[in-house]
Amino acid sequence: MIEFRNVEKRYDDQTAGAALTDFNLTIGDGEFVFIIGESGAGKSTLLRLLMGEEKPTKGSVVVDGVNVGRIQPAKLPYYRRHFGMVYQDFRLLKDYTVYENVAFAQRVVNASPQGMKRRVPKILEKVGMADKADSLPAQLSGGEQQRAAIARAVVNGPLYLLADEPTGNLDPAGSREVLSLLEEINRGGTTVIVVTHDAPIVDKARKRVVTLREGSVVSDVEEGGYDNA
Amino acid sequence: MRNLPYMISQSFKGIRKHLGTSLFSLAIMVFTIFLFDGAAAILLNLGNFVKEAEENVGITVFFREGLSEQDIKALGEQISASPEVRRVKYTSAEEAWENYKKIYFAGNEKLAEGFADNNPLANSASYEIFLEDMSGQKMFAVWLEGLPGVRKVNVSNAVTGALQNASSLIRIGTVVILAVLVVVAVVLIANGIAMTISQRQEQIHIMRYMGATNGFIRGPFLIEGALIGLLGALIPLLITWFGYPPVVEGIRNKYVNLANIFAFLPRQKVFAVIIPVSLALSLGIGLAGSAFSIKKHLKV
Repeated sequence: MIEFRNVEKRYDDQTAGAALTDFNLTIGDGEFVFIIGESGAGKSTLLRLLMGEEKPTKGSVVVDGVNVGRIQPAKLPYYRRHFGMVYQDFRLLKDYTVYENVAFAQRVVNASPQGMKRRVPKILEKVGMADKADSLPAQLSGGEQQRAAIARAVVNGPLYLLADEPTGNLDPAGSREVLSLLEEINRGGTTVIVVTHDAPIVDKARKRVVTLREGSVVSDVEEGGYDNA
Repeated sequence: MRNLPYMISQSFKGIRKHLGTSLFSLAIMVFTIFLFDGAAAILLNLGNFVKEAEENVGITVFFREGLSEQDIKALGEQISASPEVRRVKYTSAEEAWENYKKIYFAGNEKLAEGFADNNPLANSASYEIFLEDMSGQKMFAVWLEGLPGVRKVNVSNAVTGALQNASSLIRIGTVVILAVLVVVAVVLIANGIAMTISQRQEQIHIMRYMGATNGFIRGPFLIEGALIGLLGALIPLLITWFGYPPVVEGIRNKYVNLANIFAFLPRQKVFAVIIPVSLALSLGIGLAGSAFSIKKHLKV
């Protein structure tokens, strides 16, 4: 479970208001949540706090009972292994094949070569990229690249999948593909948090929608749509 | 350990991506270690010369005319008792004459027979004194001159003094030049690593979010520095390994007199010192450059 408790986040160079202020949000295990809101509403700060890259100025971020702001730097990598991250621009390693990109995530967590050989093809099969395992990212469409990136994000079996504008660079068909993949992963028990501006996928999914404005939650609707903003 | 091959491959990629800077760093490393190896070989040999000289060159003390055998022996005991003295060798007047004959009447022994019972070196009984530390030779000679019954003290410290001076001069010069070169090498390697870090910022960010440990992220950069360092040591070590025997031979042929007095150290003995120190020095420079850059540019 993820809990933001009375969180305020103010950056050192921030002259205007706080990035997050009096921010409270609870996300239960296995949920699928869309976080929407205009630019500067605090969505990126929320992800950075969750990943332990930033510490709250006030309040606390608690994940599975652990106060993220108090995790010792040496233990932070192990905490982060509970998360998988998907980006708008995919961020695949350009000179690595699809297989190598996914295997890289396994290498980072020091997985055994045998485990890697077993797990990577299985995940690629799951995201429908088995036949593109030897392709370089530049040889793939946007949708394919994002599916490869999702495979990389989930290959280590994270409890939480964070997707930052995962459909931002995709056409509607690609977006739908990615959404259905995220839904499938969620059905497997992974908590999925999607930060997005993509109204059609939010409306299509009819999942929980949390709307941020100026660093606070202004609406939180179960089975909501983009117009909740 | 499981990720070591990955880290090494990443290091080679880093070196390849900024090959110009890597080669320049390597060239400076080669020059630095070559200078060190050369200076170390010279200093080790000079040290050996000084040691040999100290072992073989002593102070010679002669006695006043008419001093009895007993008095000479008493003086010898007094000298031997000094803590500075390593050993004392007594040469009687007869032995001195015998030695003289061997050197100067070689082949003309009959001529020497003319002196028969009249030893021309009758007053040449002497003690040859070898000290523990040659640097105290001058002071010790002054003390010897003050002893009652001592006629003359011969100090032959010209050679060892010159060797010691040359040794100090080379040592100081080498340390100064090495210090400058080490700083230049560290800065160059640090620059190369900084370039790799900046090229890999995105990859580092992704790795960090995947849960990569600091060691996993830093490893390739440390190895990159270490590789340049070690490669920079290997080249000059090979050059000096193959260059040492002909250089020594050349000096021997050119300065025959010197070669008769002093023995050059064998290659194995010189390299038993040079190899580990060169490798440690170059590894240290490489790792220092990497660590400097990591600390400055890599937030993990």
